[in-house]
Amino acid sequence: MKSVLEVESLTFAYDSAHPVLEGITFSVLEGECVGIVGANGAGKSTLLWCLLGLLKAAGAVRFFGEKLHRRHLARIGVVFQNPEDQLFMPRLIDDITLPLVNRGMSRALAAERAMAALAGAGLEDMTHRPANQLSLGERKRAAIAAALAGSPDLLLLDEPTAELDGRAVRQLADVLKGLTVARLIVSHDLSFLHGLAERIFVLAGGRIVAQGPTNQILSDRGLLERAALV
Amino acid sequence: MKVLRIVGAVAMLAAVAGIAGLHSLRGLALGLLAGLTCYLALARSMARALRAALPVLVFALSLTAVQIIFRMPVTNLAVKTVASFFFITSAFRIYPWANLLAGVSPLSPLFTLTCYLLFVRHFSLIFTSEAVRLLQARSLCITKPYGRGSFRSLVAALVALFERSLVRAERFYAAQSLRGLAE
Repeated sequence: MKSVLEVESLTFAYDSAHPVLEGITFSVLEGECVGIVGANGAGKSTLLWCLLGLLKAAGAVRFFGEKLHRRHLARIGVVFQNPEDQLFMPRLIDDITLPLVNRGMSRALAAERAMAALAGAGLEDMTHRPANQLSLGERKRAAIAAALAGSPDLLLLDEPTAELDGRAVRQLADVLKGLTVARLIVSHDLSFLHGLAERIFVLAGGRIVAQGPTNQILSDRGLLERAALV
Repeated sequence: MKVLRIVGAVAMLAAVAGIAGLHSLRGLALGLLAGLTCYLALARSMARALRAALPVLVFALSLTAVQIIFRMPVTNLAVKTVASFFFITSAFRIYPWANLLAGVSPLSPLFTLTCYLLFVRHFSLIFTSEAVRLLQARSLCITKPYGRGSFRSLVAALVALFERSLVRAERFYAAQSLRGLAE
């Protein structure tokens, strides 16, 4: 399988004396679901921002073997922790079609794609409602639908289960399980990742301190305690 | 129907331009009355419409009060402001401006303008919700609404609101940039 995303020796610091991320190296393969876990302040969201080029970091980020460039971003779907940062249109369907139309797709095709993406997220009855009238769980699924409508090769999710209740977490997990696109989920919700991720990287103090198959990582109580995850 | 709506909205916007050029008090009074009639006729609820107009009315009254207090010439700017508000609001009730996005090409300046207005509206909602949350948190911390401690907590809440708004604005910009809306 090809590598969708390769990260090599990624290092980032707001001030040079205190690096937030140091020597981060990992990869995500096609169709794979990878989790990055870490306690609050471990640098998870910063890592995502560095991967996307929103923060300038040292090291290499490659997308299908090429140095990640702005033009690649159209092939990466991003779901932010707070869906309000992404959805702002008067109707959900407009929120999803807007980036597609803006990138040159015909309105008819964009609407078709948006409907399919919303149906995939179980939101086909809410296409004409504004995002702010939906529950948080529905908004998160809508944000995923918005990211998937562009048929990305990689989906990045930042703390997807933050503030969600049990049922919403389950519904979100069901949506993510059904996907074949490569997924990188940054979270501290171990039970959520348990049924989803194939591999997990543990981030602590700005470094990857462990990596391996999900079951192996999540069964290592000592490691999780050292990483302040339990 | 869509054409009629557009014509109606354009007529309302033309009335705004007309009001701006008016100088006679009688003409302005008639314009204000016409604007108010349209505004109330198109409103879903009279009470909500009047509530929505309140900030503009307060602004207009404050403007006139400042001119009177500081013995400046009392202009008709306040009347023009209120009348323009009535006509502009009516125009966008006839043809909701957010719908423009679905009807114009992404290459059109109108598309960019509508996007920008949607951003502003969305961020205003975020800003309001953050402000409400902070004020609620503050009200739980203070024992009396006035006094030194209360004032300090209000200042702290405003500083926090500024910081939070910056963070939210940064995230919103990043999200929209990644969705290609900055291209």
